[in-house]
Amino acid sequence: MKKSKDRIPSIKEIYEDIFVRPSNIAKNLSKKYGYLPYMIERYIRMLGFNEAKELLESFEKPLKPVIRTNTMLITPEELVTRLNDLGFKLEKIPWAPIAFRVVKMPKSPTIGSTHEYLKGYYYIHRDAASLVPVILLMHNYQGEVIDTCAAPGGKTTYIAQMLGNKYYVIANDLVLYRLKALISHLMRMKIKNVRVLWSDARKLPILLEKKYSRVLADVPCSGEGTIMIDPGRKTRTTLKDLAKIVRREIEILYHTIDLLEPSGILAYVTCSIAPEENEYVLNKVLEIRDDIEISSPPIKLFDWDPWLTNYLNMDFPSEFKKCIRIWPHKHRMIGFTTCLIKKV
Amino acid sequence: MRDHNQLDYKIGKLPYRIRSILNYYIREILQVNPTKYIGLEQYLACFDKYCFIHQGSGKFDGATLLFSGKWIGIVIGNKPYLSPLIYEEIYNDLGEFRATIIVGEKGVKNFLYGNDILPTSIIKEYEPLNTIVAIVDEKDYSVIGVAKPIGTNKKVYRNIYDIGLFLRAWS
Repeated sequence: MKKSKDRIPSIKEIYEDIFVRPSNIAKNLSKKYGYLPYMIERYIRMLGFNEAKELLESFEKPLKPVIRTNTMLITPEELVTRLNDLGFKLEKIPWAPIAFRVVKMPKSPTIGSTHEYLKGYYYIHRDAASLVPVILLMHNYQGEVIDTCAAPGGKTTYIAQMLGNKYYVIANDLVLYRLKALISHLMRMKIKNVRVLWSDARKLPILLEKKYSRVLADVPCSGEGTIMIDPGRKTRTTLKDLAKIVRREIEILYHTIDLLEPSGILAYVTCSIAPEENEYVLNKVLEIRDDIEISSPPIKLFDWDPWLTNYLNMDFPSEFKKCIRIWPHKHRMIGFTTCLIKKV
Repeated sequence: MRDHNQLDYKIGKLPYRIRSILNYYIREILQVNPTKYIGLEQYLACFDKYCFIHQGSGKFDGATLLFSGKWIGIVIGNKPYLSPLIYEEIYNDLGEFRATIIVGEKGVKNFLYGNDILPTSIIKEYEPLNTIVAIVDEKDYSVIGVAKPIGTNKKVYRNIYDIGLFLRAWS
């Protein structure tokens, strides 16, 4: 049931809620590292000055990509042997035995142009963090899954692989050229159990008749966790732009919850460390809906951080401690968050 | 149709003529039941100049379905060719190759750059060879593309498509 008295806030209301005035300290740091000052102010408020500097330093260090074995076609051991023979050095991801960080590469071929890649033996992820929501959402689960913002397909192909062609994955996205990339990965990796939809995620509950036990909502975000990969993000998104993104995130989360069957679980995912795109978004949806609750991760993969329970002058539910924050300076991954939401 | 990102796309049922060519090849050349491997109905998803055959498009409830299920093949110059996945499924079931050229390391590398298969690259051949053949990497016996014999002695195989298209078509 939805609380009819509440509604999704306007962009103006969101902007007023999330507005921060940068201090002189934030302005100085922003000059040094080349950021918009409001961003640094938020890092200081979340982490304190010293840790904020650690975060900024971690964004200056490039991150090596991670490959995930397509276990339907090859074993991790065989893949490692073949890539080692080509001059790649791979490092195990302790909590994801089928994935490896590419720590050393030969001059040729690149990791995205080996024969093994073309044969579909692996998928290249920007980082291991994106494996986390899939592992948690799919823990001890077999059945249909809908990935509402699926392109370019890293999580979809991982879910499809976990389901071993026994159940379908519904992979939806709004952007056609990104769906073209997703389809190429499905063909390359010889995946047979995906249906690719081209729709606005916000409209899916109206367009689809079925309800799902597992929903993935990896929403299009500001990318504030991926600055080490995309330094342009340091200055690309103003606070007003952020308010627009936040509004869209609230809308997507609010509507995609309607795809869940009772007791079904939705993983809300962003590659952003912004509290506005995570804690604020879910808090707003919780204010509007009374048919969801936060669910604890079924397993602990590593020592991740919890979501914030307060930020600026906003208090968030204590249940937010069940949600996951991955920080670049602490976990040596991209900034990433996920929260499991259960329909009650 | 063009979307706002200026990408040409087209989806729909595979035309009867193209479906017939595909069925004939599977039944007469590979000598297996086409329905078992590609089903009764096939669909097309075209992006720019590339058209892929798969198992379902149109509507999924009220949403637009672009692609579904197995990658069955590709249409080039109005002619259909099977995907590596379908060839491999058939070869696995049969326990043997048909209309196949097994190629060594250097030949594989050249083929994946879009080049033809020369006699020096051929490790083994499986009849029939006067038709469209699957090119197989001797390293792991995976299908890496499709070719057809050319020339008077038919020992050179022209590259029709290869899995390098995943780099060329998506770069």
